[in-house]
Amino acid sequence: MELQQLVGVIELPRLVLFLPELIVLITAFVLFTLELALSKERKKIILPSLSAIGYVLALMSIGVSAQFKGDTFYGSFTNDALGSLVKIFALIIALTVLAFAGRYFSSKRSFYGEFYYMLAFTLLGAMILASSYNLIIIYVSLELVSIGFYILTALLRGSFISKEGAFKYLILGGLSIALASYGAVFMYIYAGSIDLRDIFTYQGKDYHYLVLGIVFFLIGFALKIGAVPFHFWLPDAYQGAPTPVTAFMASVGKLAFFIPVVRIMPLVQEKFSLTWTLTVGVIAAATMLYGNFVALVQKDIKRLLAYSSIAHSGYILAAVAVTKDIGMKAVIYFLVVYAVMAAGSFFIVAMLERAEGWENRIQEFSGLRFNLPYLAFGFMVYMFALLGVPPTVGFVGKTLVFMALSFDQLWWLAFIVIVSTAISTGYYVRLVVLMYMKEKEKDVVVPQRSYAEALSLVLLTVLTIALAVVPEVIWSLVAPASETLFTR
Amino acid sequence: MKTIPLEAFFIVSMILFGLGVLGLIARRNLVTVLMSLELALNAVNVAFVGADYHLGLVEGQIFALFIIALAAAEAAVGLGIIIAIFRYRYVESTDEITDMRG
Repeated sequence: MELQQLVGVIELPRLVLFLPELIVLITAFVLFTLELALSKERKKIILPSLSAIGYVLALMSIGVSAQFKGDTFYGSFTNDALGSLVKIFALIIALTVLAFAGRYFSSKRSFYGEFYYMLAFTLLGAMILASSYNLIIIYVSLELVSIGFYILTALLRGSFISKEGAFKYLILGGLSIALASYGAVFMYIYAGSIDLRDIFTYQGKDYHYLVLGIVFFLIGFALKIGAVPFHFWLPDAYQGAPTPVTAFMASVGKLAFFIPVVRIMPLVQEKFSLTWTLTVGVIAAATMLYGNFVALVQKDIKRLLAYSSIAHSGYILAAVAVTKDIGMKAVIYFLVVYAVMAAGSFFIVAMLERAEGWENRIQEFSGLRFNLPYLAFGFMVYMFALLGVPPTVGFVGKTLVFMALSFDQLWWLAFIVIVSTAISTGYYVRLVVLMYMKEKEKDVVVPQRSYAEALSLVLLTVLTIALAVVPEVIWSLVAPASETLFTR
Repeated sequence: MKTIPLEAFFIVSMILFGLGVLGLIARRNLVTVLMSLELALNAVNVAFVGADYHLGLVEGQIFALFIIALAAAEAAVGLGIIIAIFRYRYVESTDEITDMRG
């Protein structure tokens, strides 16, 4: 009798909602076990192919899990349209990372089997972070993503800056997690619950603890996404990390770290719309201007792209400041397409780094079209996309941000978006000019190009244009994602 | 028996957190910086347990247990990175690991 009562209250987990994560988790553990058992030559073939199989299966399982919406594990895991969208792109980008990682690490003499399971665990953390309202789950998955990134950053053998970047990332990343969980304390003492939805629907009299909680929580996440007063670690970590890992950090990392902010955005706006708009707007303006100005004077291509990543955090934050539905749509669209653009541009740098004597200087790009016409063309597409030239996703993203700002009459912020885009022309166009209108400085030969790399780059380049020319495809995923968040 | 007010817990935790952040900024030794980070995370634990004592719930203590476990994992990774730094160059201070500029 007592046993029956006890069993009766236990809710069976609806594993179908958790299916993609489950598959990635199993893949990660299989990779972890095989990494110990296999010889080094076999690892190079078996580990990437097993990861790819796992990620493809997970990608297909989203088709199943997206049909069912709802909570499981006692409300601590939420499967909704936003989570599914993020997971689709995170998995696609993780698959493309696999295509570049093997050759890159071999050429740098630092092939580690650990890379593959750390990548899988990091991906798992990003996927869980994208689909939870529970503060404990957010904390644990945040640590999972971050610790994975610290280790992946430090994986380059014989490179001091890789370790330096990892240490800076560790210290500032740890501080951001401490700040976010300190914010969680105050939200918990306000509402007596660790579920973000309960916290914001709770009708308390005393708002002090809630405000304090939101401030600490958002400062923590601002550190993670590299918003301006808290951006110091980002260029160093991006420059130090192995380039395929940088691509993964700039795309999947940014996507995952933004999602909790996106989730609390409509909830906070109900209570404090004016303060929210002002605070986030000022941070966004500072981030855009600073990122673009400092990118102008960079000499290292990875560092330039890192500052461009900071600037893009600013554009996305500008849309976060908007208190209407359209703002949310702009945020989600821009996040997803930025992930594609950033991954593609860093992958091309990763391929170039394999060439003999390549040092990542911007001058080395001069005349690249004579040596590597296809890579130069791909890089030009990404540069134009990051700048926001019409037939690319960057243009649609910036237009959406601008539209969202005009709906909320935030003209000053819209003006700063335009000014900083104009500033960014300086460095994006300079790269294109160097590649296409200058004589070549030296011969650049990328050894051992593989079909997987070519296929991944073609896929990402096509996505960069197709998601803008035929936006209905992605819009049918973005619109429900933002509407479920708004109509709760 | 007198009950401890919530504010007392928060004052202790804020002092600890402040010391942690101060150590992070002001200290130069690599290991000390890592220790300051752990101090900041432990301040969060104190606040969580205090909040639970006030509310009569247990979720905060569960959270604190997770923080203890994952802070240990982070410290392990941090010490690993510090050892990797020592292998390349014998440095002790954060002022000496500034190869990247700009």
